[in-house]
Amino acid sequence: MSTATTDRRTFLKTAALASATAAIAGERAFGLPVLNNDAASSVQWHKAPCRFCGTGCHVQVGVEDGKVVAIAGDQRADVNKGLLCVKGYHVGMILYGQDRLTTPLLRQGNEYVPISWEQAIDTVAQRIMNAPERFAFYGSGQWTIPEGFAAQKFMKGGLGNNHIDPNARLCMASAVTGFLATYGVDEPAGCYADLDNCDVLIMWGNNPAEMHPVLFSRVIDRRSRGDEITLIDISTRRTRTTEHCQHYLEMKGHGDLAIANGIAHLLLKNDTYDKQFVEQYCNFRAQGDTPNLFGEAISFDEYRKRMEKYTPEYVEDCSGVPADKIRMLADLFGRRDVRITSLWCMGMNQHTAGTAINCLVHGVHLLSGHFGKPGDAPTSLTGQPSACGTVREVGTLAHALPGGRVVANAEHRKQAEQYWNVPEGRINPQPGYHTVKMWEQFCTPASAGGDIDTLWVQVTNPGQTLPNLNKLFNAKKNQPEKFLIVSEVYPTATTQLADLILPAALWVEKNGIFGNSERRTQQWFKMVDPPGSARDDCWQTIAVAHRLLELGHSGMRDRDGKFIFNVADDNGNDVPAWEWEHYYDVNVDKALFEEYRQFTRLKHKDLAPYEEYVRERGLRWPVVQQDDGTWRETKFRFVSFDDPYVEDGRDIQFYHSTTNDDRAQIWFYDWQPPAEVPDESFPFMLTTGRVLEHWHSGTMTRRVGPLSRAMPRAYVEVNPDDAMTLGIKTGDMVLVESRRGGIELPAWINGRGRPPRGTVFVPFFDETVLINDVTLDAHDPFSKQPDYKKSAVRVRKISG
Amino acid sequence: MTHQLPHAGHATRFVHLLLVVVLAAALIGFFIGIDYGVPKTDETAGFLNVGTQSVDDAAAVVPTLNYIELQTTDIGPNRNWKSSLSTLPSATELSTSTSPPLSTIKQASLHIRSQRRAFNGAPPVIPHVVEQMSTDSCLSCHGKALRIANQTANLLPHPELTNCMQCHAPVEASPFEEFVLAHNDFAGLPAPFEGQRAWDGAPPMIPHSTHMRDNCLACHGPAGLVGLRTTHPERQSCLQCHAPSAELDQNITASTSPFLQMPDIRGGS
Repeated sequence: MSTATTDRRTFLKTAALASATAAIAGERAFGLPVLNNDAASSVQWHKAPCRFCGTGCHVQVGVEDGKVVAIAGDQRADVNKGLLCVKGYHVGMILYGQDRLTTPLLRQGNEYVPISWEQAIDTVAQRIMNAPERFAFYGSGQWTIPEGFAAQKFMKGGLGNNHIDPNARLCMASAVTGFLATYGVDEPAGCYADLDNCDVLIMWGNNPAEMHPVLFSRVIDRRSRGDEITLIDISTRRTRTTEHCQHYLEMKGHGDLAIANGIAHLLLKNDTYDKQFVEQYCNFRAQGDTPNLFGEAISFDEYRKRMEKYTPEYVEDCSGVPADKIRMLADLFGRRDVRITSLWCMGMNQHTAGTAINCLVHGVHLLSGHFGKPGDAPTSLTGQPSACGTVREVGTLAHALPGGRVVANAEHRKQAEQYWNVPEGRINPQPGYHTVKMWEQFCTPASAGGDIDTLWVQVTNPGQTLPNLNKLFNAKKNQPEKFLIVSEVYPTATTQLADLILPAALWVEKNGIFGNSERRTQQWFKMVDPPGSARDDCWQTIAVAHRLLELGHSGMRDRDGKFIFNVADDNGNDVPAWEWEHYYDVNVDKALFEEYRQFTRLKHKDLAPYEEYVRERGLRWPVVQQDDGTWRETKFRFVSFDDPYVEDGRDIQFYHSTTNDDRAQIWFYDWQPPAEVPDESFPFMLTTGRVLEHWHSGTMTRRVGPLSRAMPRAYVEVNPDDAMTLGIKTGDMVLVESRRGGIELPAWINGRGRPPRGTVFVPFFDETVLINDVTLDAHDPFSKQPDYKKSAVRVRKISG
Repeated sequence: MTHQLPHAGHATRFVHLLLVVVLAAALIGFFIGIDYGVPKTDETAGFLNVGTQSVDDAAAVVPTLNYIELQTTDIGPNRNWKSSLSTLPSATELSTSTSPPLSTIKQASLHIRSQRRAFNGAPPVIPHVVEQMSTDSCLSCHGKALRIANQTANLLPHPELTNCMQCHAPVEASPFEEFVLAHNDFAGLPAPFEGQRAWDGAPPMIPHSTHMRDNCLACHGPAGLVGLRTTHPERQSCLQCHAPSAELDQNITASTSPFLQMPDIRGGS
């Protein structure tokens, strides 16, 4: 180490101290030091996908002396091409919040006592050992693929217990059911290249300018290059996205169902639907007496008949969108000379008719033939970095097994048991509890039928993000027989009720693999050490499994009597990876990934070997090996020009069709009103969501100065006319109250977003004002995903 | 023609009446406007003080003003910059010096620069209040390095990117009360004082990535901070003499070997 470097460390320490003091004093400057040397020279740069949303940007992480010191957009990444958003640029700072959890903590009364990892792991294992069937595991789309795969194997292949579900249930479950019901297989057929090629971009209840900013820029930056793109915003409030759009279609909640049907109605009436496409590639479908994802076949005439009532005027009644705008949309879809991409995320997914609206939007694209060409695509986005990779592909859901399999299918169970090398019959055929049910059972006393009594949460914050928190989370309080285990990086609303807190490693403090919204699998290596004695979530799972093995749980052994998470090094020698000291003696991620890879062929979601991902900035599945030994990714599925699984001589082939005839399903669903609509007592519609600066529950981003400074706390957006009536000014404290609970927060009029009369908006990132005390837990009948976007509330000024 | 005069007088009275109505409507509209949307507290104070009046913290109720007072009263976003719009010098009036800046001046400029970044390479934060919804309005100043009072708006170095607030976070969004930033131990990559030179007098190498810095003169031209300005703005081809860093520009992979093998030398070790 040179003197200069030593000086620099001293300088940095001083700077850190100074900045801490500055923060206390309320000064806003960052006080970055300026040094008289080439500061960049000793920084090592490595690739990693960003920790936040489902876009899956790659960042370059600058590491010096064991610390992350800088972030740059990765210019070799196809997703973001060197650009990031304000969260991504500051993602390195999430590791260094001063209140990182660094030691296992066990609750004793109202206090916590630090305990050793040995004690902690033993405590978890004992709870599970006592009643394995009353244990549930709650994870998320922020689990890395190996973490999720380990949890999945531990539960379903080890304990024979299917009570494992992710927060993604709250996030994109309806997108999954929409893809399954339409194409017979999950995840978008297109990719982000559609954004480079579309002439029209329709955003259905979507605000990508704030939620998927890099993708939004990918579209609007085309305008700087002279491209003409029509942007259409179908939304319940004005957002930053609206500012860039030629058309803003302001709809009432659930208006989207009517709008999609209105487009279909006009395509049929004007005879502008794509007859050839429909005849060759589509069937028509509707729900019968027992609703399910397969439905019943209906004839084209029957479909046409059901669509008859969705005239533009009727759609205007249901949605509030002027009939002319419906005609404008239908005219666009009726044209063959423009390419149309639809984007959606939570607006269509957090919806009590979420499966229906997902199916209807796919249906409009299929009916009009706007499918299967670059730029012609119905594309759902995800909110979490590995909602696709870990939840949808690894299948960490109560009913699923890896690779698109389900527990209810005997053949699928058998395959999983074989890949896992566990005895036949190990996997329970009965689906476990989905998220809302799981938490309901956990919060219900055993005496009243609550049959989950130990719940382990990893990489998510249900104490803030579940709907109707008083019922589904806060009710855990004062129930000593219920035991909540939380693996976390910072104190959260969830750790507040935890009985055992396990400090976890975060992002580049561990190896990982994510899968983004466009089927892209992305790998990174550990770059820095976690603070204190924080450890990888994956290690925690494996250590508990091994402790259970020691306690004599037979499920922790495979067919050969070996530990189910046995890992060997390159020479074939077993490595005791359950001991932290040896966890990084071997790449556990690689071992788990290679095991998982076997599962991916059934649904043609083939993954390449681990090493391929080390080289690339992610690859989109199916990744198929070529004759020359190289691995080729697939940008567009089901089309002959790109998808290797489409048979020769076919242009488009839906090879996982639910009707086994290579056709996709165009569904009919009726418009229906939201589960809760404003009435006299609760006259406002509350909608919730995110803001650009904060990601989900804010656990990470609220500890990042530049982000927190821009968006320090939650607020309620009120329409100026409503505010006038209620006597509310910007900055006034306001009570927002539903039948389930109420919170107080400042009003912001003409602020970040602008709701129409009768609508209020509250972001959910702020743990000090939990809007989910107010939201509704009504959910979609198929996906079980709750509707956070439509709760009836009343609004009252408290103080000026 | 004379008989038209009374009509003209009539028209003048009508115009006066109309003006009164319009002025009244404008005033009423103005007060309604400031009631909804004006931040309660002056969040920019202290961050970039340009020496104009600040709004009273307790100014939730705005006192009645007349039009003369309006000219000198701070209202709305960017209110601190409103007073001198009529006397704006253009950026071209700014000058560069032919001799390098004193190191103290450069240090001061770098200090200003560093105040707005979490680490070297981070997108600078926006040191003033902005309209939350309107990103286009950024270009009205930053598209042409507009000079207002003694402040020059930084010139946009990447004009093709137009979603400004995707990367640049504003100061505290009104209407929120004071808050304390969470403690964070992140120690950001410092800014280099200068690019390395092969020898005294050699052109310095570029010590930062050139990605999204298409226009060098945005920072190093006449509109840049004094200590960062080039001594030779008339020369347009910067990269002719100043070498960028392939590593910082992410141009090469680490596995690329730049050399052919050494020849085998007999008797060599």
